[in-house]
Amino acid sequence: MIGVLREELILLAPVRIPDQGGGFDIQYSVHDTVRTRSETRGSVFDNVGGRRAGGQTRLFTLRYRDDLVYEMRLEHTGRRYRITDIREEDDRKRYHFVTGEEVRP
Amino acid sequence: MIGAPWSLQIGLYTYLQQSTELQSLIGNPARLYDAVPPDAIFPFVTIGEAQVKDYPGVDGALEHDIRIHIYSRWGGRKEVKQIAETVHDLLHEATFSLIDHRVAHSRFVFADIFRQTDAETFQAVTRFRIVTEPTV
Repeated sequence: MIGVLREELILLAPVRIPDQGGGFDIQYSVHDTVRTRSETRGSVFDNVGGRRAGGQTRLFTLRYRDDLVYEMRLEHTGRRYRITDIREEDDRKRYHFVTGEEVRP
Repeated sequence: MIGAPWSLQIGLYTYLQQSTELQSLIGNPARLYDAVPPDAIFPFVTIGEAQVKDYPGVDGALEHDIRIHIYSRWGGRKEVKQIAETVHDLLHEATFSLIDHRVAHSRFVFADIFRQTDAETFQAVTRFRIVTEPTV
């Protein structure tokens, strides 16, 4: 499968800056750039505040890594995704299948 | 003559949009909407539900119950509280220009601040009671 991971995927890790009131400003910094294969899985709408922002859900296949966490963001062809599902191919720790839901700023 | 509810919305929108205090929190031009565009970015403010009823004792006067919503994706309540406070300061016991009407008085009623079910968005609902009188 290595040969078919032809696309670039940027893993973004959250950086939290405390706000002195128990909350934080959250920014994302580049954690790593990896190879992936991806496919569109569907669409998603962000309806918060009447803002009907459309986006897509996408399945990414990448080499297994032990530092993937749900709070990361994924950047692929200029679009940013929140992780909604992380699965392993099997118990051999070869590949991860990660589903992302597009987010708007 | 323009009706008081629409005149109030135009006046309110213009007044808040032009506030430099609000612009410092929600951008310039201020991200203040009635209908929110799909590409709106957080934080933003919307003009929400309104109720209008007669204001007894003054000919043509109306009492408007207006809600202003604030949406933020800051990791906590800081941003919505700051914006809500600014909206409060701008509207409580304030006056601003209307077409064919005037603001007789404007008072803050309450603010409710909570997290949306998406777990990422914080919302404040602020409510104001504004009485208008016709000028023509």
